[in-house]
Amino acid sequence: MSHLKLIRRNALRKPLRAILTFAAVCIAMFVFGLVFTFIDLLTAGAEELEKAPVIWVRHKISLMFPVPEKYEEQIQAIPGVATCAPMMWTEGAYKDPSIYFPQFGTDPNDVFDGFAGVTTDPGQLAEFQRDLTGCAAGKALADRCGWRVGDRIYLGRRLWPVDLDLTLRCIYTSTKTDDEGMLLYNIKALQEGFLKKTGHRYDTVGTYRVGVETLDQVPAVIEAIDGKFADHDFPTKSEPEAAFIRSFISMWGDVPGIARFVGTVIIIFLVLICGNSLAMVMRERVREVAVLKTLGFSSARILTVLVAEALLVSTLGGLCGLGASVWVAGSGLFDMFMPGASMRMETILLSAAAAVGIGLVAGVGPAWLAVRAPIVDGLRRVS
Amino acid sequence: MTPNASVPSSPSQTGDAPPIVEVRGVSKVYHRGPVEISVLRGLDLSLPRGVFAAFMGPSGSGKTTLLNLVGGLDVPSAGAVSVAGEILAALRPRALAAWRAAHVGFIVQLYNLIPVLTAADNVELPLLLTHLNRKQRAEHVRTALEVVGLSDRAGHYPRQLSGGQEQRVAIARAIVTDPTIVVADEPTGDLDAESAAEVLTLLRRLNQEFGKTILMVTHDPHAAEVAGRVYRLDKGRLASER
Repeated sequence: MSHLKLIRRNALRKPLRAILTFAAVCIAMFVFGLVFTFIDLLTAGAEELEKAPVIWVRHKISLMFPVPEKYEEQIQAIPGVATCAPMMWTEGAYKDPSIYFPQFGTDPNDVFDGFAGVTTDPGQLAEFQRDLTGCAAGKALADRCGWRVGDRIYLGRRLWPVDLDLTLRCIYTSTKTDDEGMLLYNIKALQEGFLKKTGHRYDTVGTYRVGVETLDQVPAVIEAIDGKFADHDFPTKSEPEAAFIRSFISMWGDVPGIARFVGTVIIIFLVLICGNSLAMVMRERVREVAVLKTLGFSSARILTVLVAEALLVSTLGGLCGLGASVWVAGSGLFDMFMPGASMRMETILLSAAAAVGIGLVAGVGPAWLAVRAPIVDGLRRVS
Repeated sequence: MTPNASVPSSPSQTGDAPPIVEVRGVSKVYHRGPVEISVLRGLDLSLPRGVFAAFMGPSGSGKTTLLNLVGGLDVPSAGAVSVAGEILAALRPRALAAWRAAHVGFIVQLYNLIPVLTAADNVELPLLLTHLNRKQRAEHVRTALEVVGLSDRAGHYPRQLSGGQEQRVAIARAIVTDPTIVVADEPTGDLDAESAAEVLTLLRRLNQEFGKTILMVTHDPHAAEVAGRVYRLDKGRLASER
């Protein structure tokens, strides 16, 4: 026999309780892993974005209001502006309704300029720019949908009274997983379809993505753009890309903050559950602890054994839950909510540390109480 | 069958051997809230190596407290206890635990085996504190179980053993490290007569054949007859000695 066997046997002495504790930790760590993966997706690439000389221009009041198409030329005329591409949210219906992905009508000639972390094949990009009904998809999205260059992608009418019959011309990669979940197409395809369908020209866009020549010119360009349109019917609000993404996310509230709160609550909840379970275990074993002490086991050794029991259950449960969340995050099951998700190593390590921490925090208190009871009192206890 | 019918008394006791247990002016006071309970009152006792001593007396007379002090489970409020020349009060908790592991074998009433471990694993527990390797530990366990006649129950869990067998496993665990003294607190207290007789026979054999020094607390006069010396305690003092 070894100490390990003693720990293992004790940890499993009440199988139902061990299984329930294991399951509680497993499920909680599964949710914890996904929650933090979600946070990662929302905040991924923030540092890279901070360094990108890119500005997003939208209506001053809200993203819900469009800005005129004619602003594009005026923005491009501002000193320091390198490129200006419209970005029109489309929401077309894909043939498989279970697969959701963001779609933007844009200017293929400018959209990838200064797009942080994005890499394109020059030949494919040229094809995308040439073909009015061409489109470009991120690699994660293409893989998920099984698309190859040359495939036709049909997006049915939903927000717009236009059906888009597109051809995939370019598959790009990005260091940001959510950027790889987008589909971009030529906005002229949407505008021409709209004109054919309604007889009216649609002359506004949702936002502009503006490339600036250098990062230090960004504040001046922002001031210039917003100043230029301040007295117009469609005043603008321009923001650096990182701030724009943050404000976009904050439309739903402080989602990362809420997600972190949920993750923290899960941990506290687990510590309480495990602590309660372990306290019951220790109460039942005060006499056994006293017997071990009579045999010459030191308090430190007994404490180590008892805490190791708690660690065994919490770590195994946590690792199983973590393994499940890693698999689910990478399997595409949640792509509708988290396109291109996969768990970062930092999140895996954080979750593993949380599982170990739960066992430590929940185990030390009850174990200490059991160990510090006088031997003679413990021996008087009847099991 | 009663224990005394099947177990003869110890034929000889070593009255002239050097003392292995020395208790000098020992008092023990417990505090229960504001109330002080004096359990031992200036007790003196000297026991030679190889003795089999039984301690009797009414409940609350201090028998178990005396045993706890000699076994290093508790410390006296006044006076000194020394075992094999070691003054126990001078040892810090960690050193006292190590001393217990090396010098004392404990047998308490039933329910003192770890239920999730087999008989062999229970016996092996004190050996985990030694430097013996796995093979050596297994050899010691085998020998101890042979001594108590339970070699064929090595793989059984406590729930698969009778009360008497459980107590014999506890005895094997108490002797497996070859301790200086064996202390037994009511070792037959929860056993039927037949099992009690088996346990007493075993203790007597350990004393006579293996020369173990045994201190036993009992309420049972028949059990006490197995011991070479019987001390009667009353209100924390030695009332008589036989």
